[in-house]
Amino acid sequence: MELENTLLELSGVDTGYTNSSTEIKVLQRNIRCEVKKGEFIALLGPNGVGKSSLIKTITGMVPSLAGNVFIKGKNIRHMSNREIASEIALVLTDKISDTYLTAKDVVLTGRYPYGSFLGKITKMDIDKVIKGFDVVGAHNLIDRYFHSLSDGEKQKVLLARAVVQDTPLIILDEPTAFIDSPGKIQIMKLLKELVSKHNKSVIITTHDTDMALKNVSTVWLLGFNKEFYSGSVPSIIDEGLINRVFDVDGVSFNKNSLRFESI
Amino acid sequence: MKLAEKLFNIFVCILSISFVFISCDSPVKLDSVDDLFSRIDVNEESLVEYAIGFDILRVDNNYKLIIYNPDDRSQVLACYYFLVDGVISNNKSVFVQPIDSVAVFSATQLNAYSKLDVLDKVVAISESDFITNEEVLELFEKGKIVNLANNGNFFLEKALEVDPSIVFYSPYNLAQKHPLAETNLTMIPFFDFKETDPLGRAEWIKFTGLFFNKQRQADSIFNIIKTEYNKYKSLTSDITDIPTVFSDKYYSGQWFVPGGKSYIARLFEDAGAEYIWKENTNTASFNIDFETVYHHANDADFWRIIGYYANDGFSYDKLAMENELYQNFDAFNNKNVVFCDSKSTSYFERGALEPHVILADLIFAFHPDLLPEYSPIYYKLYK
Amino acid sequence: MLAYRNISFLIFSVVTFMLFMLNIRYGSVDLSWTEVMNSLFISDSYSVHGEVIILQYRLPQAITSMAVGMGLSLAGMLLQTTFGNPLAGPSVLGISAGASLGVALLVLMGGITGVSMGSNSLFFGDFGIVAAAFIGALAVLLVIIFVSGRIGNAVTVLIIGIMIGYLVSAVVGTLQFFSSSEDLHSFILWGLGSFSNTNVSQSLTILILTLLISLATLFFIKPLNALLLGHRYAVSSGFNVKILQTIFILFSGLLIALGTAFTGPIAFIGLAVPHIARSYFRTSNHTILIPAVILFGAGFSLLCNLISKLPGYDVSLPINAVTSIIGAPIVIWVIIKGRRLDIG
Repeated sequence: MELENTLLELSGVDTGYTNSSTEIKVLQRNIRCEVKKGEFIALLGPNGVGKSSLIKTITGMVPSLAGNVFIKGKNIRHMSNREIASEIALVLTDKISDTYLTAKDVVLTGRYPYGSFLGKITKMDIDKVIKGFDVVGAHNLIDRYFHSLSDGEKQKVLLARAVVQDTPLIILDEPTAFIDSPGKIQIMKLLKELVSKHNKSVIITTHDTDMALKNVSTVWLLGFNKEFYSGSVPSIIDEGLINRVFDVDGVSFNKNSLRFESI
Repeated sequence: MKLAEKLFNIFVCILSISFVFISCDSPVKLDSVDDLFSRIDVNEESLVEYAIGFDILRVDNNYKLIIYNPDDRSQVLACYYFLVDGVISNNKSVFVQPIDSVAVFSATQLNAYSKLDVLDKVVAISESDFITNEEVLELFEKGKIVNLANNGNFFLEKALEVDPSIVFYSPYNLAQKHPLAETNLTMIPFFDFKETDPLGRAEWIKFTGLFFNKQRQADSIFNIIKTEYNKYKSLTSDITDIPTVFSDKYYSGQWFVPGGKSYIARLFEDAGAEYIWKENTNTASFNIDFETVYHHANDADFWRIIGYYANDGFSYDKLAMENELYQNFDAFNNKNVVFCDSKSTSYFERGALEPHVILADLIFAFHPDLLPEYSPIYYKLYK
Repeated sequence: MLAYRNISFLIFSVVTFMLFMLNIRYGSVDLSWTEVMNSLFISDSYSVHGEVIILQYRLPQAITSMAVGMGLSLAGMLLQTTFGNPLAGPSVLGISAGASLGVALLVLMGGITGVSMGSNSLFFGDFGIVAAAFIGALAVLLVIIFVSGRIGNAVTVLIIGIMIGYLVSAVVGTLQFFSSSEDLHSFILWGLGSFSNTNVSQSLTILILTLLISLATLFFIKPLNALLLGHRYAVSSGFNVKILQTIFILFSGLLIALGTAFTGPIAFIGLAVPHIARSYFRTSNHTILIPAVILFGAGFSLLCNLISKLPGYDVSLPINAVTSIIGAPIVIWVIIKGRRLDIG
């Protein structure tokens, strides 16, 4: 394992949660995988299989039931939220409902893991923010009120925030969920650019299987039998793993069209 | 005996009984009771001199009691007739007589029962925790008197079980129905506390006396009170040195002061003191803010407070602890607080029937040289 | 934009100062500006009478009004941000209810124990009521903090806080039911709120403590801003949201307890002022919001106090009546204005 190149490592990780009655529910068992620099990963799997739990485990929001997560070789159990925040940025589908937040305000919070206690904004912060908007092509949105933006525009702003957070890894939860088709293509293009031009690694969870498979380099596949498969796109497809994991009557995954079709 | 003889005997009996009746002080029949009193002018002939909450009229040893709405004196609340043959009625029905079981919900009225020696008629009271009348407490201990209310909550079922002939109650708010009004118990209001004239308040002993045929005793007790009161009052009629007085305490932004036409204001005047708000026309207390009170009363000579302090009673230190601002009043700094410990003196139970004592207390506080040998009972000047 | 904001701050500071002075000048009794100035600045002034009213009554009243206005507004802001709920205010965590319970137990226990406390004035020294209110408020605060620490989920904590508020109010209601009318009257008067129950040193204590907590809040601008995006984004920005939630609840609780203990529950200010501040400066950025809320809180409270004094009249209004009558229309107007922004 070339430590320099390995951003994230999951070693024997069990994901899941404990109920209030101390009942333990394991979702995935014994995950072993890595994220290297410059990887574009799609996290796929049926609804409820545990994609969100895996994300939460990776980011440290929920402790792993077993095993360890390492960021650049350091166990996240020993890392503070701030340290984790300087390595991983998140883009979620959470609703932000404040009336007076501007897009700039939102993106600025991406700089919060750095800088002084009192929240003083430096010139460097402002520069990075503007640059962030440029990278996602949303320069015209800077002073707009966030809540007045369209879903696609909001998406871009939140991505700008992640960019500005200067992290080697960005994780997006369902980035294409509420976006129209052109928007979806645009976002994926942006993400690919972030990977190729800005040397970031990106993990996305999505239900847009064909869009994902066409754009990413690696697939992480989760199944209901606590299964976890990771591999390149061709290898995952060839091994028929998608059909194994998405076991739905009357529906099959077509290797050629890269789409689910009815049989 | 044959039937005819029987009938004849009965006839004779009836006739003789009728004779007996006719030859007595012709008892008045229920339906003509109103007529009997209609010729009397209430204003001229009422046996009540000072109280304005009720009037008593008399025709040949028959009495009529008129109770007025204390908030609207033009409205008659109820009338009761006390007839010479012992019948008591309200012109619609007759009360069971003699009246041997009453519920009395006013502590002052209980005091009157003590003085008139009719406590044996009382079967129920309210708020027994606050009663200090020893005779009542004794009867209460023995179980002869029952408690029908605590903290304003009345025990309906118990009241029905006790079933007093009359319930004398003292409501603060006439608009609100009394909890026991739902029952068919006879409820008669007792409004002595609404009188602002000190003698008027005491005069309600006559009201109580009527129900037990104790008019004469009630009159004589009241006459003593009246004489004593006027005697004390006359002491101050010529004085020239009239001190000023204000009353009560400040709490949470409001200072409730007695109205200029209130009971205590009358007493102040009769005791030869000038009440700061004597020009005010309220008969009850009203609230003003601290600034106004301070502005008008900071240099008043005397300060009257009624209340209760645990642990050795009133002291100026305790008063100062309640509110620092009190230390800015001359009456405080000159130690001229006239204080009545309501608990140890049983003021609220006994004071109403002793206005002459209250008056003397106040005169002794304001003008001690007028009553050199006097020992105050209720109000004392604390030095 | 920046200049506009700075000028606004300057103007409102001046306005607040003026309101403060007006609160000293006006009241039921008419005193002149000369007397006011003499009393405030010259030690041996000629009018002791005026001095008492100005220095011992109006001055502490004005200081307390200002301090509590600031404190409650800041608490409201913290709660609204922490719980992401524009309807959150000091009453929401049940802390004022806790203070009421403390006082109710002291004042209304007569109904249970059979002793009429209404005349037992020893307990009514400022100390007794204040201590009871403070202890009651802190007790509820501790419960809420415990819950927040264990459960963490903001909505859950909010609901528990509201339920505690209802529970406490029910107990207070029951106590009221069994009380004598005298005790009840005292309790109700306390419940109407009053800025006049403090002396100068107490009012300054409240002011200083409020300012200290406000100062402390300035160190949390970043996490507060991050919380505006929601708890998950706040965590992803590097903050320990669970601990922060507890800290903000603690700050709010202390501010609320401090206010309520001395003044009785004051309605509306905590809920309304943050909205006014946000709406006026058109921002949710706490760098601006914290000083704005403090300034507006002081001014709003002083304004309400001035009105409740009914200058020139012998009576005064209970403060809660005024804050509600003025506060409610303002909040409605603010919300409507905010909705127009929504469409745009």
